[in-house]
Amino acid sequence: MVWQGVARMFRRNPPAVLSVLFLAALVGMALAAPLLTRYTTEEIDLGRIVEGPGREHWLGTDENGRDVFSRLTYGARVSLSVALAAVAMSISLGSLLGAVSGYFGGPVDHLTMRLTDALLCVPTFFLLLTVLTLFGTSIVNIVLVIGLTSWMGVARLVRGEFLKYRAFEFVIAARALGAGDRRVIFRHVLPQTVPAITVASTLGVALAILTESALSYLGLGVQPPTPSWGNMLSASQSYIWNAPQLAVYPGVLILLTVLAFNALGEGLRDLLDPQRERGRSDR
Amino acid sequence: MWRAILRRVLHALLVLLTVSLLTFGLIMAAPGGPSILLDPDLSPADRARLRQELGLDAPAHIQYLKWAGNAVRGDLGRSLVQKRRVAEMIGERVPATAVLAGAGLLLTLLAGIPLGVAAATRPRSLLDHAATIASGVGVAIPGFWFGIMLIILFAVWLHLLPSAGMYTPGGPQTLADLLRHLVMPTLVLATFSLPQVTLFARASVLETLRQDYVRTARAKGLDERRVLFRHGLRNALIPVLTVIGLLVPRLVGGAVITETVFAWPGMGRLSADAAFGRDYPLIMGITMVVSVVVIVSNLLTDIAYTVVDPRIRLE
Repeated sequence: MVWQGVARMFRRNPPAVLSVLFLAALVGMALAAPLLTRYTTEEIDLGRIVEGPGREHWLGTDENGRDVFSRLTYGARVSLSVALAAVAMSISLGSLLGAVSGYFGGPVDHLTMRLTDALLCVPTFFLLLTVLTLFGTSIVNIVLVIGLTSWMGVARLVRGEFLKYRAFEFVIAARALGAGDRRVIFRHVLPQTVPAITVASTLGVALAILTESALSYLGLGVQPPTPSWGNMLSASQSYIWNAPQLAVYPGVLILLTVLAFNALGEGLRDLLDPQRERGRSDR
Repeated sequence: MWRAILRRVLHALLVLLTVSLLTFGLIMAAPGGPSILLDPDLSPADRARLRQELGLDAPAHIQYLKWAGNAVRGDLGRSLVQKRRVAEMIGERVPATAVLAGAGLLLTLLAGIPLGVAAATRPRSLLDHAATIASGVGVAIPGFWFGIMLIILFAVWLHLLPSAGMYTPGGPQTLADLLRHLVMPTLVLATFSLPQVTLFARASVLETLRQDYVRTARAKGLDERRVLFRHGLRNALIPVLTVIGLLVPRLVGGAVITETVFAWPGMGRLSADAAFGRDYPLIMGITMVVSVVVIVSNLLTDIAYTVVDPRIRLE
């Protein structure tokens, strides 16, 4: 039964299923990092500096003689958790503001939406740059700034959903039964928006990974020696003349991971929103 | 119409005010202070004198009002690090960024729209699949990594293109030289925006071609070219305008990264320098100039929207 479902999903959307498999493998790798790697991320092999792939070091060593495979694996932990935490934050904030805005309407709505519009047309990357240089580049700060500058899309989305459901009978019925605003928002309407939020968060993770890597590239992301895919790339740029492979590995991993999250998001959207699916098939 | 535009302008000014307050507030709240005060050789007395000279000892709201008063009159103050006028420092860098961002936008539009239209008019063709897949990859690729890969390929291995800068150092500053230096940065800058415009144009044309009036045009016996160019495209491409408005902040933000990868002497790098040097007036100045550019381009998009589509009114 389950397998039939999986098979059907695969036929309908192979990229999404492949993405799930890839992401599962990646998360598994990140979780099992100590079991999979033979070296720590900081162990230096002085005899082998910038070496190609080999038996001792599967993917070779970097400019400091550290094992590239270990650093990629542990880097996955860092990059993924930063992205997930940032998205958790932007989703909570966006959903809350969107819910309040759409549910209550009026001046609250007006104010929130103006703020959202304002932030949408500010080049947030400058804000990220300023905040991280002024307040320091701790992992907490990175998560905070990415989260605080990426909630606008979710807020608009959730607000739209609340506007739609606000007039539905089940909401009116809940109110008539004496449910308070808080109960109606969190127990009745918010659950209806879960599909939309799920899709938004999947796509958000992809964007957060890209943002973290861009920040790391400028030296404002996760700080060495802690490995993240972004700072590994950043370090590799000085060695592109004699060791281009060091720049290839983390870049390909970022690319595949972002691709997978995007494909998964698209797949979920088709799955959770049949209306759209129909639009696709009759084109 | 004019009242609506006036309201938009007022709204834009409000956004600018918010941005300036936010940035100023962040700077004030930041621990440490400007980098020149962190110099360990300064005696406490020197430090106090310097603070007073720079006006940093005044309460935050006084500092802000002073800054805002000058900024409104076009005076963005002096850089703490270089001691030069901020407006002048930004002015020097604007042309390089304008060239790069302009080239990026041009490539995005000239390649993205035709590609999207072509893909939409031949659904499920090889071209359509290729465009969709390439766009998916383009959105997912980290721009700076793409830049590094291009440098490895075209500069390190093939020796075809220069890896950094805007002109060959010491050489004559010819257009041909500029164009050679511009190729890779433009490609990198467009990696994010080009796929988005392609996908959006494709979706929009697909949607339009399903409309009844298109069916009517076909039923009248018009050939497919006339249906597309006389009836379909005009309506389909209007929504693409909004996307362009939203892309401008991305292009400007992307310029920071792209300029860093290719050592392009524009505002992006200046802003990174400003942030790292904790050069407060420079940070404020760049943020404001960039915000003005973005907000004005959004405003123009909104107005252009109502001009090309009479069905839409500015609320």
